[in-house]
Amino acid sequence: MSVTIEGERVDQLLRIIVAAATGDYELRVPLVEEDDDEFLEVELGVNYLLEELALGKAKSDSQRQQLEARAEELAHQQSELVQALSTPVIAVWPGVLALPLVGRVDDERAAQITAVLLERVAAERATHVIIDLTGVGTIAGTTMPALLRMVRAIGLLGAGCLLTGISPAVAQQIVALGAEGGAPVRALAQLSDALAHVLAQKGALRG
Amino acid sequence: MPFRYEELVTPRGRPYVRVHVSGDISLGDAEEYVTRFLGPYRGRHVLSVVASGTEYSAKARKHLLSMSDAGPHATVTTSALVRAAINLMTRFANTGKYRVFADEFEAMAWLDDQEA
Repeated sequence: MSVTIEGERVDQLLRIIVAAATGDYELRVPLVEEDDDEFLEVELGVNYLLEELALGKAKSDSQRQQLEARAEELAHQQSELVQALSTPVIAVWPGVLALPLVGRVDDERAAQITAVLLERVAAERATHVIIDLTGVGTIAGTTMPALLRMVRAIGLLGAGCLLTGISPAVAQQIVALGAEGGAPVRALAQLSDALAHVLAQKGALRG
Repeated sequence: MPFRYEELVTPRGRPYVRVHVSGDISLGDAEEYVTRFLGPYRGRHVLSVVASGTEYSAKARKHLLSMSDAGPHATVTTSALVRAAINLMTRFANTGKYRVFADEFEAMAWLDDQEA
């Protein structure tokens, strides 16, 4: 088979193929009814190929957008779950709340803990709150005052606050802030000690 | 409608479906076409007369190619572009029962020669 093709048609086809190779699938080979030769099928075939590529790209873009939206939704759900798990306030006895903290406490988390805890204290008319710091490795420098303010706020709501599981490093932070004097903080070694202390106060334990 | 159907008889008395094709053919049009030829027109001889300027969308082309088990099919068109499009599609379809003609008389003669 021998076909004579005008150089311009070949150039045009090559330009479009090069554009497609760089990701531009929007161009099309101009087709002329009068070009009634075998090369017309090649030109049309390239156009069909470009249409397929454009469709594939549109589908891929759409799937990427869906995946991004799903990832955003999952991140939001995860954030909500982490928030819920980071403030596990437990009613261990009528009027007694316990908050075992785990991990690093920064300003944002301290603010969240304060909000949740004060709401629970008010809602349940708690008389005692035990904050267990056994699982807290570090408290950010500016966060300790916030936690101590929370302790004072709990006191203003009429509840007593006990801290347990204080590490040496955290103890030093509290002392450095001079919180011992005014704040109604009672520290005990373990959560179980605090619970026994509270229950004894409430007269729940005999002997 | 891009497809218009007529049930006719060839000069030798063989029933066939004549399809007039024109305009832009969408996936919906192709689906309707395939449904007919897999249903009431299954195995029928077909003579399609395709007007100049007829265009098949990418999805329509793919759907038309999905149709197997079709009877002999002659297409008549005077348009070089339509012929090129149909040639391309039939290359993919790899069917021996399909031919494109410029002349309707020749197309009808070929169709009439085909076994059912």
